[in-house]
Amino acid sequence: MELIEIKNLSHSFGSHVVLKDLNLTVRDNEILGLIGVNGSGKSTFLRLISGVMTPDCGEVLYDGQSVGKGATRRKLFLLSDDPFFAEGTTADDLYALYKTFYPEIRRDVYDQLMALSALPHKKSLSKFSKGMRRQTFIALAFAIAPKFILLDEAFDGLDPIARARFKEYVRNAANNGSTIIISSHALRELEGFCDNYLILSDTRFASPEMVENKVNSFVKYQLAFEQTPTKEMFARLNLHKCEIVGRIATIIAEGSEDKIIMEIDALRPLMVDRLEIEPGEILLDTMKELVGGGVEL
Amino acid sequence: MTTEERYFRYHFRETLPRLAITIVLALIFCSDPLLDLGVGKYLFDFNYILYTASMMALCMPVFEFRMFNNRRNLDTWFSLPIDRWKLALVHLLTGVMHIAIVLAILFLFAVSYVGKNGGGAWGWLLLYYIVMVLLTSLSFGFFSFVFLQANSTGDGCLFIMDYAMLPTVFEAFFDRVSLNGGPVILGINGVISDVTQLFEDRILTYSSGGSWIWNSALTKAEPATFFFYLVLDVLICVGAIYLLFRSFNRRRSEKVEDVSDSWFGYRTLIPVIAVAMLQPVRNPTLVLLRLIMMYVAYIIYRRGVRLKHSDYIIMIIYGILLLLML
Repeated sequence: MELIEIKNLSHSFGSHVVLKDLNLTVRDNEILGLIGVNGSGKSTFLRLISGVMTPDCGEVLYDGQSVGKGATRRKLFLLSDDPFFAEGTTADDLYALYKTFYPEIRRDVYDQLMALSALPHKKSLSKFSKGMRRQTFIALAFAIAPKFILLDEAFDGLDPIARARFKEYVRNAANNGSTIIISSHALRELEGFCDNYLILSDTRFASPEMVENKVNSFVKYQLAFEQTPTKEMFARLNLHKCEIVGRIATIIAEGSEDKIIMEIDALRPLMVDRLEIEPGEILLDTMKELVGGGVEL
Repeated sequence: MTTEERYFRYHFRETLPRLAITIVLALIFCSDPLLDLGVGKYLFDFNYILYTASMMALCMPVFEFRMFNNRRNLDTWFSLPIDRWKLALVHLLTGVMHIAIVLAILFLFAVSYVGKNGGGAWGWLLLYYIVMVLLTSLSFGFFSFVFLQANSTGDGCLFIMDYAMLPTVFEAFFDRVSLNGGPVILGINGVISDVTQLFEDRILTYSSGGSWIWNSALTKAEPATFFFYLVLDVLICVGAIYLLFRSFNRRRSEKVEDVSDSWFGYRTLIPVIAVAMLQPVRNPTLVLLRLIMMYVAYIIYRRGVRLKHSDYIIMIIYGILLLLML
């Protein structure tokens, strides 16, 4: 059994409570998206669960072992939002440092990932752009291939190609047995990519029930009409999405299903088909409402 | 090989350029320590070794531990798979290795010079080297603890300077309160100085075949007093090193780069140094000057002109004490 267990985790900065009584179990081989506005405590949460910070109370266990022990941290890699490198450090120097702590790091994988992004090995990291530095650390993370990978604001500074490539690495790592927690304040980056999502808001996680209730408040129908329908026909519905192709309309609406059906009946459709909603289809709105303002879309 | 052994090898290799620079600087500094006694005998000035050792004990903590006074760095260092106390141990051992290597080179330098006198003091020289490495390492450990009480490199350097001068300040204070001289309080660097004096006398006496006149201040001091303070200072250093590991294990990365509010830092140092420097003043301007100096110290501590109530209370009490001495 390989998993992350977080029990009663709380942390404050002086009198300011950042995280309060958090409990969480992350399943094996899962990609977990951590979402919250800037300042909601995502980075603090990742620092706490990676052993960088010691929580005021609570514990963090990886496969049943405390993250406070150096040996436990051998299984994890934290990519912080602004990772360290000493002045004059090159990508090769960085590799040498990490090889000291992770002897199992694979040079061939590192070289391959560096080559894919056309990153130089001998140039000082201080002369790299933010995105290039990030890609260097990403190459390190996947060359180490630890059991647990914690990525803070991992998409920052990456161009669209690098983002796509990065998502592919993450998915491959999960397929190869890694568990990944990835934080972002940009919902669109995580939508449809993670297996599960955590919403950090007001010192706590939004409960799974809250997310489930919100998701269940949406319904999706496919409707066929005699004439080509228009969006205005559905004005009385609280529409989330409406796609019209010929005489077929596919809608996602929020609210009481009985009321929605009554409204649909009044439109006299030829055919009504209830469809299952994919989580990604309504994720953005659900998250945004639960997290509050300040989330980038 | 364990993680800490691998890291020690890595870190020591990374610090070799610094070690090379230290050796070159130490050799330049100690380039002319030989005095011709004029009777075919030479005097090697061991103060060169003493000053080098003392400087290393004061400066090395900054080089070895400043990386832990940067919040961004800690994200990496504290998430790496090594226990924090082992991380601190690697940096301490690297410092000790540097001290041992630099002093060994200076010791060989001394051997070559003392050899001009026909030898005869090799045992004392070897013993002197071992004792110097031990005491300098303890001093380095003590100042490393002091440095890590700060949350920034700047504050850490100030703390080291404060603690380096604290024994002198206290000595002056006790001289004032007790008119017959008062107790002699030796800081660890003072102990290193006296130990150097002790060995220098013996080495020179033996190597000069008796032509060197033993003229140490230690000969005039009570040996019991010297050894009391030697043991006391060694115990303080050992305690500081223990506290270093303890506090490093509990280091709160979120406080790094913030105000240094350790009880071993400004919080205690400002009032203690102020009181230790107390002496009767006759001029009210001096009272004002002292209070302004204390205020400036608190501004440095708090990193701004907005102080806490407790700071003002301490300054008021101190002001009253000074006024009573008018």
